[in-house]
Amino acid sequence: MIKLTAIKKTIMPCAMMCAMMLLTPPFLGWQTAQAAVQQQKSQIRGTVVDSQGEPIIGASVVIVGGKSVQGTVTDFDGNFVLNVAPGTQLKISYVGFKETTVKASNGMKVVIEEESTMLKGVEVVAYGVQKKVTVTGALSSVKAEDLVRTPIGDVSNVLAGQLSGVTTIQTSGEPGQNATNIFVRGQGTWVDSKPLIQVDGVEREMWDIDPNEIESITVLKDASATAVFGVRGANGVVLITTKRGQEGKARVTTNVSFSAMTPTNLIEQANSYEYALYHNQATISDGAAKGVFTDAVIQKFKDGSDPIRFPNMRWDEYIMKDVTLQQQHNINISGGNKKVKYFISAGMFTQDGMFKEFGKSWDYGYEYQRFNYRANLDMDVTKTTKLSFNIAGKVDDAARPRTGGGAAAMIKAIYNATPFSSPGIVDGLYIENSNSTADNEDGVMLPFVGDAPMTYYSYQPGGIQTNNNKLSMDLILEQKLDFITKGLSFKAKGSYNSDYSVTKTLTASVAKYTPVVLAQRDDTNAIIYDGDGNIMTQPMLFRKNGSDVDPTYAYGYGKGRDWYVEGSFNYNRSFGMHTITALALYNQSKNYYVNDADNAYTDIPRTYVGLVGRITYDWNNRYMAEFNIGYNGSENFAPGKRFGTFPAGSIGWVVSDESFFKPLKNIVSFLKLRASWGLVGNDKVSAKRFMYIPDPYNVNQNALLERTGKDSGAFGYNFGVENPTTAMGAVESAKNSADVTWEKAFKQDYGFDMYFLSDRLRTNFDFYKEHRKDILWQNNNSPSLRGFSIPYTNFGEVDSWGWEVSLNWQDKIGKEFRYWAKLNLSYNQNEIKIDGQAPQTNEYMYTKGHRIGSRSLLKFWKYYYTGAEADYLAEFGSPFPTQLVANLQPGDAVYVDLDKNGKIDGNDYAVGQGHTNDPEYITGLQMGCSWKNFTFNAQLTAAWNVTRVIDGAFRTPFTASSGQSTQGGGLLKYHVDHSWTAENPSQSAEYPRATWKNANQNYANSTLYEKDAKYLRLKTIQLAYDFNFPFMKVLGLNQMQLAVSGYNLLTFTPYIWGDPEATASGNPSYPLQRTYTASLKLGF
Amino acid sequence: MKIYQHITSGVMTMAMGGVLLISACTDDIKFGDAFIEKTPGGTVTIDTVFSNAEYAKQFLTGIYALQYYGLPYSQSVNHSSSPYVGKLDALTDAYQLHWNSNTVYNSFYSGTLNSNEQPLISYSNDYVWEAVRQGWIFIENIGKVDGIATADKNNMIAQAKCLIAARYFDLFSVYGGLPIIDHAFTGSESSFSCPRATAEETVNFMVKLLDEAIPDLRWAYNGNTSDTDDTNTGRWTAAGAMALKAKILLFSASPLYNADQGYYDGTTEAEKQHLVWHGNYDAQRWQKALQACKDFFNRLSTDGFYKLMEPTDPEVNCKNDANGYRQAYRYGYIRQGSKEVLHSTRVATVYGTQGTYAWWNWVGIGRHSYLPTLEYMEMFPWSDGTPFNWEKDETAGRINGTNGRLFYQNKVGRGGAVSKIPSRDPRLYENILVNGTTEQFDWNKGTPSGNAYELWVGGYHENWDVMGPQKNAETGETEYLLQEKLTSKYSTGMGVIKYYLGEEFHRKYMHWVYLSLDEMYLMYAEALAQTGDLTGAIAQVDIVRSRVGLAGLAAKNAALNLTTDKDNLINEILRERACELGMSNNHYYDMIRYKRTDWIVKPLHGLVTYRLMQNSKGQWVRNYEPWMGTHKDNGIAEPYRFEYETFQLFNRERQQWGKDPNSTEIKKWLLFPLPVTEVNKGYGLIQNPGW
Repeated sequence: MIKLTAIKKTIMPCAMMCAMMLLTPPFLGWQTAQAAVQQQKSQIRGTVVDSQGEPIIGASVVIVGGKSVQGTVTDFDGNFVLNVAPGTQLKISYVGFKETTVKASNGMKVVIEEESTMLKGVEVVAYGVQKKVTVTGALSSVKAEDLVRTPIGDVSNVLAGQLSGVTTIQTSGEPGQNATNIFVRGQGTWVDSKPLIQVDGVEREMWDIDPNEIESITVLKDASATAVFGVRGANGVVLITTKRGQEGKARVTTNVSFSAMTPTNLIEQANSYEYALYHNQATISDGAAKGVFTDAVIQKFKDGSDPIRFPNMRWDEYIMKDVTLQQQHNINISGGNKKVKYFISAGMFTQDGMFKEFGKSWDYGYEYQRFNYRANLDMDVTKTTKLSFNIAGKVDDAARPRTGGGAAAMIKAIYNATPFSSPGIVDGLYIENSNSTADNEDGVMLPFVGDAPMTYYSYQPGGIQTNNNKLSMDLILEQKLDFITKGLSFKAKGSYNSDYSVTKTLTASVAKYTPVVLAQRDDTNAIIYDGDGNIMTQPMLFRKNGSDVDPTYAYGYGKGRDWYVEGSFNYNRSFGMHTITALALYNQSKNYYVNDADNAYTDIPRTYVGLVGRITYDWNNRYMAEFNIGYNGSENFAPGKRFGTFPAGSIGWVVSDESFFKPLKNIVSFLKLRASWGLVGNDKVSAKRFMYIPDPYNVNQNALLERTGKDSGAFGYNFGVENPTTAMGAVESAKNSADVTWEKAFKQDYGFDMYFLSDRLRTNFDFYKEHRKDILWQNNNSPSLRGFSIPYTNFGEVDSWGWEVSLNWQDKIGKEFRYWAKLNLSYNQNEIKIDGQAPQTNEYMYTKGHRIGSRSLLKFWKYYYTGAEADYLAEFGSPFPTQLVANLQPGDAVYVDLDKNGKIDGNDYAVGQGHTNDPEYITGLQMGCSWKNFTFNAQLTAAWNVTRVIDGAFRTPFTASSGQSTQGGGLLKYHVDHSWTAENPSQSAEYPRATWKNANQNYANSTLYEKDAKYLRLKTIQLAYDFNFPFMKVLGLNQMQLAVSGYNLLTFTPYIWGDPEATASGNPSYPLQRTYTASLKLGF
Repeated sequence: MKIYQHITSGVMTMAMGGVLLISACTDDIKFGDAFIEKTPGGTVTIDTVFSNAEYAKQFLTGIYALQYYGLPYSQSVNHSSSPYVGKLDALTDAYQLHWNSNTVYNSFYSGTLNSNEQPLISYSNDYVWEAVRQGWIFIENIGKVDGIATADKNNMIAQAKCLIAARYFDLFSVYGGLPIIDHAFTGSESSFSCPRATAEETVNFMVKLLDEAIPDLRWAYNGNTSDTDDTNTGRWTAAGAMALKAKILLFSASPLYNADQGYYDGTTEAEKQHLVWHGNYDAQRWQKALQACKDFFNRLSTDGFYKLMEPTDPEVNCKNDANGYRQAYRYGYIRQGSKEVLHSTRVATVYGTQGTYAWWNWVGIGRHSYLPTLEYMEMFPWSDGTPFNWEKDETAGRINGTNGRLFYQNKVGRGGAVSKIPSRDPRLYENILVNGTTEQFDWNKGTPSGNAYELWVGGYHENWDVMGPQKNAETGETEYLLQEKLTSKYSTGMGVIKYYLGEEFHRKYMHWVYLSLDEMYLMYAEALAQTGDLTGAIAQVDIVRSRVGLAGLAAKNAALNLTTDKDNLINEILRERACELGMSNNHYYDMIRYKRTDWIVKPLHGLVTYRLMQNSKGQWVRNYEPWMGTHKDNGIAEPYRFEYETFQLFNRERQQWGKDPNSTEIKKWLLFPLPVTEVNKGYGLIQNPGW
């Protein structure tokens, strides 16, 4: 069955690809037809090479001045053939090279020069593009080819290490779930540090996009770059630009890739034998005479003679597949003529879930399929008018089990299970063991059964299938207004996004079978014994509980709709050495069906308006100055407090252009100094809306408290004697502050760009500081007897700072070997200044003065041993404190009495003893080389000064779904091997003595469970080969690249509780995936 | 805003064509501030509520929803209602909680509670201050409402005052003196200075509110007039308010507050400032409590309606026999129509339709394993009223042996049918689920039927909760070892039945009794005893006893000289309160009111029950098998002989057990710690002694 579905899923997309390719011959036919017409003119042959004499493949050669676009592209040897009269002007262009116009002559050799990236390159900035050389703000960007080296569903997963100043934490590998947190320059507030993400200038979600559609991703980091966004610009902005068509012949690119995925790192559980011994040992160390696992049971575990009743299951391996299939396919066509340019893309991405479905007829094992499409059109309606139209969308299908707790519930169930609770599915029967004497008349039975992990199969069988349909459109009109004044243009843009989802919930049931071993009995119903005195048993029976019922379906629907419009005037003109640009832009947006915190205003769309201004000036690309201003209104604030003004300015100086710099130019080819200052805002605190309106009251509340609780508006009451009618209630539902207004961040950035050795080594450095104030939050210093919920007010303060370095080296050795390396290193730190935390008894209990996300933990000292009291006194100068429990045993965790009051209590939790979940240092190294037709690329990512706190089954042995249990619960192999034991009383053990009695002591939240999660990982690696077969020309193929790549292949980390980015807690995450991919890229 | 409105609107309309047509067809085209202007329409504010009679009434109803409910029922509401916190009764010697995911188990039994944690009733997170605020908002604003008669407004104000007073009492009873809040905060106060009032001031504040309320309240919602329609049962009445006043004054007169010295060591700031005691002993306090009781009963004698439910009452419709007494007692507390209930609180309508009610559901799955202890079981006398005493009764053969009748006197009739005659106080069977009680006890008729609970080791219900089999590796013999399992319903050998009642209670209306008439009789008795009228006190106790067919207290406890020995009588009244008022918090209140730290340090016990079966030689030997199932199906006679043993509870011994009851380490447990965060806010909260 599993195989069948795999084949089904493999064949389907292949068939689709074939069907798409069948559509391509008309294009080919069109080319040949044109060639035939031009046969009458004379044939010109030529070669296009670069300055090194290397042939340029795929350069476009176009006849200048023709009525329609006529031309060709160069082949693998850089050659082209064109039927034109000699002397005709030909325009030769190639991405990254200067456009050259030459006269046609037979046997011509055209040398085209590489574009100077500094002068011609442009950067995407807020509401437009800027010449790279004149950019004074702090931004970093990544190009398409670096994003698609290895197929991934969500492009955010490869951003870390590619872009300086960007931190990502991928907490789950669940297909179709965006689980990656992105921070730009760390966290500037503890409330919501998510950056603003825009696709083609409109706020949209990053994970909806096929990476193949992306042209570039730019991250705007400082105030100068983000102030114009006003709204949520404070957390940085990620701009995603999609590809657009270029003038020239239709170019078809197809990508086909197949990947095998395996989970990155699963932590092993103890087997039944180890479990039993460890459980007995723990029981005895808690003071019992002996453990509950008898020798007979232990023997059964050891010899495996009764694999049904005494199984030894490694549940992760049993439940999860070793390897699953991922596919990503894309075909896109781009091209155009002078008037119309187009880019059309269709992509497909599928991922199989790693959970086995055990032959059930419905899908619930986390399959994910996504189909993306996009058409970007640009039309020159008149000489001065350009109209662009984008339409894009995705349709996705996700099937997952109905666990009630997402993927975490499945992983949790595995780690909370005992290895002997069930042998799984035997001969098609799902078996759960029993430890009742009636079912085990041979007298050998489990002391307890514990949790079985296949809850998704047996407890709430069925599944949840979601289908999402998203559609977005942009219409952009650009009108040159040179007739008014030269350099003036007008642009209007409107965007519309909608989505619709259907959630189908399947409910089924599955029969369970209990193995029963009955004794043989005689006529008097007495048990029969054999010669050795053993009970004679009957063959094993299976008692059926429940029944198999096929699923029934229930449906739920979701919808979303939002639109955005902007209108702007642009001005761009040079007067001699002076260049001035200016922008004035108005925008407004409306988002329908907003889910707010209180669900009170879902009927009211969320609205924003903004007015943006920007003026830039440069003199000869040498002295730059820029001023930005954003003026934004938010529905969250009262009239009068509603609009915020966010100015920012920056300056730049290209020192290397100065005459005094000349002597250095041989070494330092370019040096630019930059600085920026500015104010950026934020209006949101979680999902709160309309924080200023008069205190709202709720009336006609008829729910009862028992159902939902106060905060869900349950203020009805049941008066009377057996009265079925509930009296409705009314209540003051919130307290607002009319004074709330914008949260403000003052940002400073100082940086330089310095290139060495003829730009072979390029370096960038930025140092930044941010002071965030008026953070919207509840001030918990207010006494609770006030009797109302604390209103949100502007009072919080956070400082953050850091630096970023990137080094970029490109060179070649000989003619065939090029190599490059790019290193990013980012450091970010922050400090809470004011957060309204309720007053604490001791200074070290405050979160202020620490990094956001710092934890409050007891300080672990040592494992207890006889004589520890004296050593403690000697070390801390205060007597050994009363610990959390009364009777410490050797091997129990001992905590430090920080306030020296003689006992460990709530006042001994100190904040910020370790690091936090988001790393302070993150670095990425991308490197690659090419030799002949081979290209090799690798990306390494590393992060340090990061810790994670382990919890749940990863901390406490014998943790079952209901908490630690003497009668079940899961056990890690790591617990067995690395706990303090009487036999191995090591202070360097990872875990204290296993115990139930002193569990409050040993498993308290302490630094003992805060684990270093630094890592170095090989994020992507790719080896590609470009084929150059003679038949390719016949087919019109100009590119055929076969590549093998890997994603998350190697991770070096001291952290052993799964992947260092995943969560090992009471809610463990879906394992991150390791991917091996083969892909084929064809270009026509 | 105007400026760019002009600039933009002209161009915008020209250019936005296509997309605007798609998107804006449902909206008016607006720009700038006007675009944002759309704010929540029809927002209800305080002015809306208090200009509308219906909404104003709803507002009062909303305060009722914030009352205290004594059984944990939902984790998503307030602190004390969460099953993960736990119930006061589990801190007494009467119950041991056998589930480990709650504050009782993890902080009280372990002795690790500190002021960073919230105890069982939270100072800051139990809706107390919300209720107080809403109460004052109501009182301050109801005058503005048109369309409600003045008398009705006064009645509503009186109800609001009772709601405030009751919420104050809920905190006062476990924390002592509190800050006095006598108005609603505006929210714009620049600082709050609300120092803790003395215990006396707090008592006076509550009593004053009640005194103001009583004249304006109805005596009862008796169904006689449209005004006192019984669809309003559950609202505060004069009877409820007078009972609450008596309860507060009784608390105030109790030794915890009314003594020659503070309960801790006298050195603490809370004691010095008289926040946790009154600073002296004054006999007048008992007189005040007595007077409040007398006022209640005087009013009762004139206005009537309330009464203890008796077996022969038409509602109960039983006879004066063991079953009838059980049914009358059960009717008295569980039924919304009981005339014994002076005030009740509600959080739902019926079980079963609303599956989230955690009390009932979680008792069923063993999480609410508030298991009665042997000590509690021993408090219940024999069915004729003779006190129970394990040692004496064991010697006399009343527990084990041929005539053993710990719970039931079993007689084998024809065909092996066993008739079980209850041998103990009928209230025992309504508080404790014991071996031999039948699964059904008819809701309407009060007749037992169905299978008996098998709580012997290996019995159908016990299911190895108390003891479990284990094969001895050396001898090969199966041994039975104590297990006392967690998260199970019978680990002390007994189970909880009060407010649970099994399937019997499914889909029935429910409430929690906040104040009741039987409690009132016992309060009266206590006040009489404390003021020297011992005979009068005994008479009040006997009213309660006779309802369940028990003979007079004094006669049955001749050795205690109850008519002359006040201390013995007080002890007996406390015991009687424990038996009569199970699961009502009162046994916990008694423990702290009388500073009974000896109850805190006393190790508690469970009961092991063995089923005895006659072997072929005629000897009675233990059998570890269930009867229901194979045995019953194969015609084996229903077990009728048992053997009982006791054991000390060990699955989480309480850390306090065995300690010196007079040590400060134990005495600090008499009042809960105030949250340290609140103390640190510096508005005048002083921490309770020892925390």
